[in-house]
Amino acid sequence: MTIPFDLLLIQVINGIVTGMILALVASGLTLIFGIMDVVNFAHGELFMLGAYLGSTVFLTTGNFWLALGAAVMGIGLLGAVIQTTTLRPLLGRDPLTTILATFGLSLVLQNYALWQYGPVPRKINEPITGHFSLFYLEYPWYRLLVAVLSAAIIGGLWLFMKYGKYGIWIRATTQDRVMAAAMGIPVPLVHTVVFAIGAAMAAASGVLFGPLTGVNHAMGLDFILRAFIVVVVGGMGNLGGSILAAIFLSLLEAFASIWVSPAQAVIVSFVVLILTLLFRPTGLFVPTPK
Amino acid sequence: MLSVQNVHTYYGKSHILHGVSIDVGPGEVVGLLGRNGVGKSTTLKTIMGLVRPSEGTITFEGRSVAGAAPYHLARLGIAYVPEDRRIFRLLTVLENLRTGLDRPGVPPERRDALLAKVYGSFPVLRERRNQAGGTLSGGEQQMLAIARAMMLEPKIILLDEPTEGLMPRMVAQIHEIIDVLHGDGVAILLVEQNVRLTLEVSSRVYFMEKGVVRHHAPAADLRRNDAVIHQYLGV
Amino acid sequence: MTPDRLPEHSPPHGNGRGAVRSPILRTEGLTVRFGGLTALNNVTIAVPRGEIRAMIGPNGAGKSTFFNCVTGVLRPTSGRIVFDGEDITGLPPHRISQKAIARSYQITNILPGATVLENVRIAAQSRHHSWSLVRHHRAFVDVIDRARAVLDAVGLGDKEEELAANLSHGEQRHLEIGIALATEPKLLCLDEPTAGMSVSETRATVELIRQIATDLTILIVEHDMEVVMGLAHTITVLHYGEVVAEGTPAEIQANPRVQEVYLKT
Repeated sequence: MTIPFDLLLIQVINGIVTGMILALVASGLTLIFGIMDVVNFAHGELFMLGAYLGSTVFLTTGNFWLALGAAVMGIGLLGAVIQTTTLRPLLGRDPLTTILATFGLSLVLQNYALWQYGPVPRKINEPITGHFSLFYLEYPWYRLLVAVLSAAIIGGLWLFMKYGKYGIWIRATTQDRVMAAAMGIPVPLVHTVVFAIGAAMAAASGVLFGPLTGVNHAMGLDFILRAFIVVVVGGMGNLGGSILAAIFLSLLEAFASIWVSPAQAVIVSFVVLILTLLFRPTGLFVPTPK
Repeated sequence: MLSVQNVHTYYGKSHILHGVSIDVGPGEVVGLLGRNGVGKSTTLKTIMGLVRPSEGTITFEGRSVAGAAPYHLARLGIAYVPEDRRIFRLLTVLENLRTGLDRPGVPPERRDALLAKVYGSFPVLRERRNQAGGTLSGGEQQMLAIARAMMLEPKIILLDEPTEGLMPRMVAQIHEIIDVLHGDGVAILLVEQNVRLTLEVSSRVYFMEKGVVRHHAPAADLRRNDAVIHQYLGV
Repeated sequence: MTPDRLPEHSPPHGNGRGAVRSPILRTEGLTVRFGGLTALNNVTIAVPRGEIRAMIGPNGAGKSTFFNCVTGVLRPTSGRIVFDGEDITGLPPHRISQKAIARSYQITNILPGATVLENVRIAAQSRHHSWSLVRHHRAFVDVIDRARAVLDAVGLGDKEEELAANLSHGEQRHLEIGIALATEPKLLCLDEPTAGMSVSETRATVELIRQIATDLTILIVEHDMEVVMGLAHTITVLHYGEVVAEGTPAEIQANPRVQEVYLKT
């Protein structure tokens, strides 16, 4: 059975586009885990709330970019508040405690969203409409824009961490929080800021994703599940690994969708997850420590 | 300047420090000797806020600091060089130094001056400034750990076994660095197993045994009479 | 200020005992390498039956590594470990336990939520495992009796219903020794048993070890020199993974090489 070359190329592009958004969501997750050993089960809710907040701003202003900005700021702030009130007091305790805490938070946020925004789905319109011709398909420009923006945000984060004034604080705290504190770095503040950044990235993903699927309560579920898989496969706490894993898994799923339905293609991701846990549990792209 | 009074520290139920009292005056080099497991490292960790004491007081320049957060103590002027160095392996040498250098209130000229000074004392760090910390040899990592502490412009450095695992040539270098620091008026609380080095650089020495300070003498006396040393360190 | 010294103890001469029978524990050329680091280098020792053998040495000398090899936690790179005539090199910990080698740990391994008696009973049960449901009831009573006897031996007889978490640190370490004893070992490995103890708790522990040593061979790693000198029949000194000296406490104290190793002067 020959695979048409154009179909393959389309799936490559689809895979990369989806992969970039996934990378954006997963980066926030892995950043948070890497620095404070917290698995943020509320990440999907921050994603969804970001989309809802964005949709509200969009409704009043009609401007996509304002919506994006507002969601990022608003949810970032929410993240900071959550971390300070709920997670900071739990630092240093049994990891199960923080898992329960973020899980509880996810339930609270889910129900809040239902109460605040109601069950009716919302809409955010993409800022650029129009398609270009990709072989026999009309490929929307917006999808490409999303990929580019995601890459830009992740790139911005990486640049900040590597060269930014306080990037060193984040990287040092991630590697050794005790020694970072002994060097005068205000570790609790760094934790709060990083959590806020992670939340803001989730919110940005939500707004970017909004025009593609519509804003509703279940919009992120599949995506968040994949994000967790990406974080494990890429190596928990490993930013570069998450990005590679996100693209890798999305490409695999995109190729699999050539033969099976997309709903079934997700099996591929689970297979990779299981293989990773069996043979390279610290991450596919991370050398296994001896 | 630094006064530790009757400090008790537990790790869970394990009672490690049974009432430790130590004083360090401004600019003094004070040694803390004792066999393994007596609580020397725990004493430093308690001072640095890495472990919370259950009893006792710690005052620094008149302020009570027992149980304070480590980053606060670093800002007050206490720097810590741990036993296993703990440099940031994935950061470059320069970035390691910057964790101490990038503080509020340090104008660019002073930054550059500090960096130049440390590169002068440790030329190998200038050579390797863009290399990841984890690629440095053991001795170089020790240099980096001390240099990093110096970036805080501390009033006192808590040095935990700086010569452990180092070749004799590097031990001599540590000696020189301690002399330089002393010359700059930085106080040092030196935990060591290397008796000779300790006696050479310290003005006073404390001896610990089983979680308490058992003896305290000027280094000059100890250089003449080493019976005490055999008692607390020998077999 | 002179420290209080533990009461003088003149142990029976360790070397004479083992001469008749073969040593209960023997290592031949035991070597452990982690990549470029040699933790143990060609360590050959022989511990006679019934002896209390202490292993001392500065930090990083290889004492824990040696312990880990004997108790099956670590597989040596080369060399042999022979226990009671049997080669046990590389056996996993649960098989080592079956061979009657027991170990106590630096970080207490007791079950905090169980009572003192339960902690020891579980260990005692491991010795006489039976699938039979009928036999089980009578064996249970025996097991509890055995557990009680052990508790008496470690001085916790009056605390059997107490939750292990509520014991003092010293009592917890004694419970740990009791758990090890309940498995009826021939060799008991004690890893820094007096760490974190006060002077009086240390003395009590030394007494305890002396008492239980009558039917056992004991291997002990310790930093507290008084404990070591007061308890041990023979001392092995390790440094950088090699045996530097071996002998009675008096011999070791008089050995200039040992002083050198410890004082680095």
